[in-house]
Amino acid sequence: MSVSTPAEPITVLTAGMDERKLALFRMAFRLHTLHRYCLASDHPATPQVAIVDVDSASGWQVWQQYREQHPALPALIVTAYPSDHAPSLQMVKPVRMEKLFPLLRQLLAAPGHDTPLAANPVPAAPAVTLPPPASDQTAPPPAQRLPPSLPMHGDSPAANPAPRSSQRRTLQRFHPAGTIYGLLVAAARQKQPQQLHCEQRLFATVDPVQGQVALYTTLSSVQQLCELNGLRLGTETLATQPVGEPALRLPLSTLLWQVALWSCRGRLLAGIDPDTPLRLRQWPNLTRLAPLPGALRIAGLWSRTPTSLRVAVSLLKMEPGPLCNFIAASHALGLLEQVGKANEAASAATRPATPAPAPLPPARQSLLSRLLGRIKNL
Amino acid sequence: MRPSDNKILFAGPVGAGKTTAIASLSDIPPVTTDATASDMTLDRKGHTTVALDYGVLMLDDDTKVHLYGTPGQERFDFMWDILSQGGIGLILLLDNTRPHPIRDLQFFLKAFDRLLQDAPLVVGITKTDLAATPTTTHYADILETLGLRPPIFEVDARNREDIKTLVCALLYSIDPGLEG
Repeated sequence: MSVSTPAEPITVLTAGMDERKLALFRMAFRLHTLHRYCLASDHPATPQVAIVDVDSASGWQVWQQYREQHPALPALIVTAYPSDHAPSLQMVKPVRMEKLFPLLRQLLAAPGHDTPLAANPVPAAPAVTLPPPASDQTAPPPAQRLPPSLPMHGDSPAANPAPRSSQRRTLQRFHPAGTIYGLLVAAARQKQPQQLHCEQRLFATVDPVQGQVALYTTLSSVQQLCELNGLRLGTETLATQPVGEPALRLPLSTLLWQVALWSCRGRLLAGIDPDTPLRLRQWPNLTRLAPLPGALRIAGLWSRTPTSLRVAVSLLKMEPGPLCNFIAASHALGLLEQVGKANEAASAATRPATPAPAPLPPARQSLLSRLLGRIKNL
Repeated sequence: MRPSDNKILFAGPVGAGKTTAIASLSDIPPVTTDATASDMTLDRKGHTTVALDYGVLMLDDDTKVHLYGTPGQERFDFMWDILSQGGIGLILLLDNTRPHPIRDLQFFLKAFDRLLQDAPLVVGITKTDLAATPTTTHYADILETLGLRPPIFEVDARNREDIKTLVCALLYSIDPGLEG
């Protein structure tokens, strides 16, 4: 099969994707300039390659149906949970442009037959493993159930033992380099207005002193861009206002918080040690920021008691995902600090850095819980 | 704790939205003691609360949480200590359009310093659509110098969700592990 010239778009069939995922690939194809790609749903031509998402509710059944219908069409499998026995090339989510297009070109150049994954190793994203949140009051204290260190993917087997319990969960890392999140956070830390570019197009101007941002694209496009890594990004000090009106002006804090939620998606921000206590310098202005489940509770904990992510999961009995989202969002606003050094992590992981306040008397706790429930249901 | 001790106090200067905030939570029509404003407040509101506002949240037949709005005029400051006794916490509403909202903050912190030794504080900044500064960060910086790190939110006192967020933040400041 020959690779199309730039004038002839390469038609890509998709399977197992909802409209949101299709929009992501549509955006990626639009940003890619080396070859022209288009979705088969947008371009009525014979598809030359396919992308099959096996993370939908139907799982790998999507692949089987796809292969029955298209026995010879080369396909790339995209998934957050790579399989050792995948029947074709696979790409681990999140979708990274610098990996997507080489893989598509590889498929187009040598479609062959379905290939066992063993011939196509996929690098796993660095991850950390956390225990599940405590589920009841009778469980042993969190400190006694925490392992002394966190196994990291990529460590040697001896340092990366298999999880002792199937209940333990693995957190993926979120690396801001090459993302819209990283671009905006870096601009927010500057002292002068900045002009930001994404894929060689004007993306936004940011005034960190005034706390304002002018977006030159729509919010829905920003959301789609937040799902991409490896973007070609640029920043320069703003000398003169760009020609043309921005699509939207909004507070910088509002955009930073929202972009963090769109980008992080439950992954742990790179540079944050899950065993190092975290503290909030200031509560985020939560009435004017995008809703984040559990944000008030998380802020309540981290503003009063420096606590590691691992301990916070147990104390708040929450899934790690919302905590990771809160970390990325509050870090973006410059409100989060890591307390203590990494080499103190092992001991810090088992207890808050400062003594936690004495537990409330049961009667008082009962009253406050009922009041909370009453307020929430108003 | 005696039933009468279940109180949440709303404090703040005239026109900050205390009466409206209590009305958005109370199970009864709030008891409000409005009267013609004194010369001190005449240019801001025709009528203002000269004694206190009162509302109540019923948790069950026997348990109530009393909501008190404390007057924003210094001549009634003798009431503040009485109302503070046994309070769950203080919600301070500050009007950003007033001439010196930071001074207002400092004034009320001093007025309720005894309560704040044991009870949490939440700050709601109103009318930020009319006056964007001081920002929540400015207020936080002032409070940090006093060793306080309370929730500080921009709020619209007419918006029940904003007021609910203030109260929830107050409760989570006491115990982040609360499950309601």
